[in-house]
Amino acid sequence: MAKVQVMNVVVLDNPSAFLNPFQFEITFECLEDLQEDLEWRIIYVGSAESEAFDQVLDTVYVGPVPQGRHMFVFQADPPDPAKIPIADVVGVTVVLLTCSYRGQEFIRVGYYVNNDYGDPELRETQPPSAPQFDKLQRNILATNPRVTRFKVDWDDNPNKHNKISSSSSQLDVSTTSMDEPIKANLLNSSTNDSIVSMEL
Amino acid sequence: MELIEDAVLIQNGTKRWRYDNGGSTHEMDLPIFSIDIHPDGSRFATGGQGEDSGRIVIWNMAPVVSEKIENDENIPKMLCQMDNHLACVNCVRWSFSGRFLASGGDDKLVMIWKISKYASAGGNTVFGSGKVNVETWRCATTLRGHNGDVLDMAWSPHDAWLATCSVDNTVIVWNALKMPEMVAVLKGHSGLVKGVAWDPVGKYVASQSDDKTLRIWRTADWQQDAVISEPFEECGGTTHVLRLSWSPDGQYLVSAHAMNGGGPTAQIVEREGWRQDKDFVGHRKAVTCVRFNSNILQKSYKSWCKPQQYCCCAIGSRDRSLSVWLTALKRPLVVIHELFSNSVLDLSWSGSGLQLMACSWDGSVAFVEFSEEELGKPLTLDEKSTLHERMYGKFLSPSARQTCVVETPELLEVREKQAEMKDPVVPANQTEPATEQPVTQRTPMKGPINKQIETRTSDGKRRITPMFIPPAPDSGDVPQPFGASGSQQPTFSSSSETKSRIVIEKRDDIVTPNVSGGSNSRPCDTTSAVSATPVVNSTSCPPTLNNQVLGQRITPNISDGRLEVQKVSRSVPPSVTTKRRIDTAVSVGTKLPVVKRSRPPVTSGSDKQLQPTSLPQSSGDEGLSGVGDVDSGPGLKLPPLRLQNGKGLVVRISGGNGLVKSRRLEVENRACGSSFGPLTKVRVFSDGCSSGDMPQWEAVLGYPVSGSVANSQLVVIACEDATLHLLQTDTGQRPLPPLVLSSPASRLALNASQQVMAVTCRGNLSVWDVLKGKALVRNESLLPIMQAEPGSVVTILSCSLTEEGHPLVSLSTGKAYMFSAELSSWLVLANSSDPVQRSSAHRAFVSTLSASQNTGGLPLACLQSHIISGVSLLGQGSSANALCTVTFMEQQLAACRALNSKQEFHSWLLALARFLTQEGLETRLRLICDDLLGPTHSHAKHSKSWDTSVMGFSKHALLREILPLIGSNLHLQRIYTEYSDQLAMLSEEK
Repeated sequence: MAKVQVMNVVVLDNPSAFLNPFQFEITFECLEDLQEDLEWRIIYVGSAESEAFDQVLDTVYVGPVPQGRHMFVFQADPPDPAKIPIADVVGVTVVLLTCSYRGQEFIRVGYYVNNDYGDPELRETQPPSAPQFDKLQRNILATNPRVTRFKVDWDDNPNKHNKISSSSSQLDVSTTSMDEPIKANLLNSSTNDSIVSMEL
Repeated sequence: MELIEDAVLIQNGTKRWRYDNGGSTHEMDLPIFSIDIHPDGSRFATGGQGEDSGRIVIWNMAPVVSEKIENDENIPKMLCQMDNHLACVNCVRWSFSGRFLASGGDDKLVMIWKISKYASAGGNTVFGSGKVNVETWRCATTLRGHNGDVLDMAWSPHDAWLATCSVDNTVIVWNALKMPEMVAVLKGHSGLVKGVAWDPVGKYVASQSDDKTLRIWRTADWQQDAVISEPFEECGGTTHVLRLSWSPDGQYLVSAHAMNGGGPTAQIVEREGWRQDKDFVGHRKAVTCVRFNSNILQKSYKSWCKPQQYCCCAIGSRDRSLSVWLTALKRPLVVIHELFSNSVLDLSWSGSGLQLMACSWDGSVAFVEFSEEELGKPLTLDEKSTLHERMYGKFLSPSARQTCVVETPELLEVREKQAEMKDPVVPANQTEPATEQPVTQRTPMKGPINKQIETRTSDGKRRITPMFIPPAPDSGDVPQPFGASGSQQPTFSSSSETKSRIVIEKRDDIVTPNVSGGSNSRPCDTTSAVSATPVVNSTSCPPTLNNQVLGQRITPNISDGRLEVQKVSRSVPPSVTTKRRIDTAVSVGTKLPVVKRSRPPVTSGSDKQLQPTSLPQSSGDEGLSGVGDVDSGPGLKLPPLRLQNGKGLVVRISGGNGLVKSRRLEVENRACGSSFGPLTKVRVFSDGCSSGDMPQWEAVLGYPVSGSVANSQLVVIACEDATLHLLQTDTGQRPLPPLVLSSPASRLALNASQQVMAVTCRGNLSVWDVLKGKALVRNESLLPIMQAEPGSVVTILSCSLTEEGHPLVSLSTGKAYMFSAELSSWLVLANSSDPVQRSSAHRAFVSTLSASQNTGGLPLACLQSHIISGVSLLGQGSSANALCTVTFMEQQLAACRALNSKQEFHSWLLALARFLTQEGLETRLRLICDDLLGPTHSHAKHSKSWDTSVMGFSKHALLREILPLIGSNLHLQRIYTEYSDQLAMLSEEK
């Protein structure tokens, strides 16, 4: 049983300038008092080609979390433009909102993000050779979050906890492998770029 | 009969009811394993497989019944979807009350749901799916106990128990009144248990398993009553479930999959001797589920003069068809072939008995409606219970816990008397509201409700305490019938406002995240999670203020594993009252103390508390220097007695008995001078006289008085020269010359038998009997009981003397002691920090004696009231708690005996008996009864080893009091009968 259910995520300040911070207003419900903090993370996928360009925009601990419904705003700085491959700056990418308990990721919410120039001239006729980040607009496809849930060990088996916390390096491996499905999705949709832009 | 076959719906969106909100309609028809109609017929629940979890959906029933409502776009069809089960949900069952929905699934869990109304904040959508939850159902309790998939469940009549069965080969019976307490684990099956059903009168529970047996268990002792295997010998484990059912009149149990002559059947097992000579034949494949209509039906046929009563039963099978049978007919009432494209998995009748729903592996649900002419007229509830009474005898209480039959008429009488008495001290099992869920003790404030609070951890990450959204008070907890009027559907907003409504309060505190196994953060103790809950400011403080808060981080010194606390200086703006907290933890394996830092409350001048007269005050800088060498030597240092203002004191002396008027003792230090020094004046006035009037008597003392106690017989005055003066209250005469104390007095006490106790500053205690003129306790040291941990101080909270002259001391450590001169030892009478006491659930069993009567007669309660703080959490019913309760009560009894407190002994003895009775702890109960009964042979009167009385109570009289208590638990009625018979025999002999 998942002790924490994400009820809703509202994407604030959207669409917005590329260099504005990300803001997610997250509502979640907790079924039983949690022993430990939740760890929320925003990951910006810099390039669909490689995980190497993933940027963790911010990580926050959320706690204490007693039983009940809670809400908070998770704000994170925009990605570092210098770390994004120039070819991937404009176009569709993904921002991931993840949450972990005891180092185990149990939910991953993926949003498509479209970055484009606000100025039609820059967009249509003469895209600049070097990206002009101050003129870029970011549009998160807030209406269509892709939610993936993972089974994790909530405090159900107290004797197992030690095992899990001690093998955190292993978990990291499995976490990265979880990226695969959404990456694959992303690739499909970005090659077929009409899908996302239509919905936008 | 009308089969509305076109109202087939699919759990993930429906064939006809396709939701256009969100646009993600899943056409995958995921199996629906279970269906149950709410008792009021307003809703029904389905359980099955979701996309990546188990799924429960609560649906509005009205659109299924009426096509007109179905076509009304404004009326929601789906009310709530819960994807909390990690794996497929195999069973959903509404409680009879309709307040709770139980769900069980492949994730081994059983969850109990109840409706809750949240304030508008927060989304009501099923996040990520675009569906809208019109209602909110929240999980009230999670039952963990099974080691495998939970396949079937059943609420017992009156919702007293919930039985769940699992692939772990067991059936677990849960106490539905005290979730998550387990009542019994029924072990015996050697294969997956796939169905469970209660006898409608609550005497049995039946289970059917893949081990080719059906077992019947008694609820009286949770033992197996019968195993039925013959009809199942040829069965293969080909069904997902084996949901059996018991007829509403209790006469027949109908099994799922059985075989007869090579064909699949549903075996009828008769209650009478568990005979198995009838079955329902006709399905071509295994029967998966049987469900009796909960109504007993009645119909007058022309050929019969009397209306005939019968039951109605629906059977679902892997052959995808559904049959409905009346027990009055030899042939099925109706068979619907090919209802689904896959196996039928569950059936449910509405409360009215005219509607039937079925669900299937093919992901759809079917609805069938009958008319009263077709099925018959249901008996009313009264008629039904009359029928039950006629068949199974009278059930004593509507409370389903008492499902035993009374075996002796005397016991019935006792119980009726008890019911009449309406004793305020009812056994706990009757005081509980019948359907209340356990109230987990929680702090009312769970977090800030108007903002989120951000702090930083030592590695610079943020830690956010989220805003708590309080649920609106539950509206009676019972879901309201979902009217056709329809409620407002909340709109899913993915608003793009630039700012959230949540106020973010940033604090510069350095906190440790409460996580384990993180990269560089260490677990801090769990209590910090609680204490970290920030104090909620009623006014949100503007973030700019934080810049004025100067904070320095505490850097953990990881290298040598020690904590170095750097100087922390903070200046807090005076207007902000925030509780600040710093806790750090370092280095693997070391738990560090939490450094708490809080601003002391701003005290104003008026805060000073007035000290009551004659209370010892901690010694100031003046005084005592010349009196005794207090500081030297080992031992204790207690604050000496000291008059409030150094001048004098007034003590009221109550009359004692009604004949003597109240008096007033006035002591005035340095009241008059003499040529050799100041004199202290002692005067006794009768009440009502002012200081100017003529005193009853007066006396002078040559040294200043430091404290005094008095009663109607004796005035005890301690002087600063470490002497104790005793004067008779009536006359002022001295029965004894002044007693010399080893050091100045710190505490004085006096009892009605003219016994005086003094505790000196050095921690020595003496008790004298003034009448007999001898010491009862000589300079006994308090050191053994007052040894403090280094760095802490133990103080005396109260000091008193029992009527027998035993000194009682209660300390700030939460312990209370009595000194026994006979044993030359201190006895522990109470220890509030004792885990035994803390986990004891005795409170529900102790009578309210102490509240109603003067505590003067209750020395133990009086003593313990000083030290026991707070109410221990009510036990969650583990066996250790029961043991703790018994142990604690026995300790209390011993303490009562030591104190010779008859009234309390009586009250605790009854409490213990009550508790043992409720827990059914027969052996211990017998020990008590045996002692009270004494030897039963004819020479009993001459027996030396057995006293006929205890603590001044006749043992037989006590036994007579206890026996009715035992009678309140029908499982113990044998004990009741046994002892009451013997008691009657003994009194006859006399």
